[in-house]
Amino acid sequence: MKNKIKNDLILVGVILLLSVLSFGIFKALLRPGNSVVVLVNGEEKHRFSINEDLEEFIVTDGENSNTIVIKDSEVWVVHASCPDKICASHAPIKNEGEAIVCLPNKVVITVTK
Amino acid sequence: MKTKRLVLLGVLAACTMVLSYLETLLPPIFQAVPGIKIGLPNVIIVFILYRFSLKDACAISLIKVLSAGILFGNAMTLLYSFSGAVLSLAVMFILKKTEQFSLVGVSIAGGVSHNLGQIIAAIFLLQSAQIGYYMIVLAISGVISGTIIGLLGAGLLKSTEKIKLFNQIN
Ligand SMILES: [Zn+2]
Repeated sequence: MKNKIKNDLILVGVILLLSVLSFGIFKALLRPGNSVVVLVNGEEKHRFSINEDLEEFIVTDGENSNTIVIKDSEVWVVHASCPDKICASHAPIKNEGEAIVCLPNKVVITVTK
Repeated sequence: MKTKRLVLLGVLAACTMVLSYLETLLPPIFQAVPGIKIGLPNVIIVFILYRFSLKDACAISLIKVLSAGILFGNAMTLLYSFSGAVLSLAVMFILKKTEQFSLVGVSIAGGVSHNLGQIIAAIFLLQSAQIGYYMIVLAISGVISGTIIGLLGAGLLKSTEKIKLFNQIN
């Protein structure tokens, strides 16, 4: 039993190490991006320059909507029609590869180079 | 013994439903990707894996995913839980087989792989690999929920040890 608990702890250590490692790799790859790409249902619907301010742009498929703002080379969601509003509470993003995801509306806002 | 076994599994399947419902009342553990849960019903799945068999655990897990998806979720959460359930059962079965880890350790690996399975589904569903960025949050929440589930599962196994009904099933 003692041996098993030791193995459990090693397992937890390995899991955390791997996740920190993968996080570190993602972090290291972060560079400020140039474009904001909006995907609806996995398809690119809009593309903006992150360096040009954009006031309250509404992303909609006719039914659901997410309102985005670009300011000071950062993008974020100000309003959303989704029930959880998780996208609207997400911090602004600016680096290549960062994303704000609205699962209910199937909207992904990503920053690319 | 076959009937007893079926009845017991039926009751356990019902328990997973109650736990699935309870879970919908809890706040989301992971803000960035909603629909991802602690997996409270996994206490029952872990219990079945240890007390019954992999086959029974798979069957009850499938019933749980389908019925909870229909009752409390939607097509998307169904896909997440299905992919989480398959990966966590596979990982838990393999680790249990090695006999190198305690039930809590097996359950932790199950919790983490449950989250990993859900994130893989989200990556495919949203066609966006960026969600992989959240792996660290998922790993930590998987370790915490796996520990809770493992401790509860171990308690459940221990407390049913002396119940005759549970000893006659195999
Ligand atoms: Zn949203």
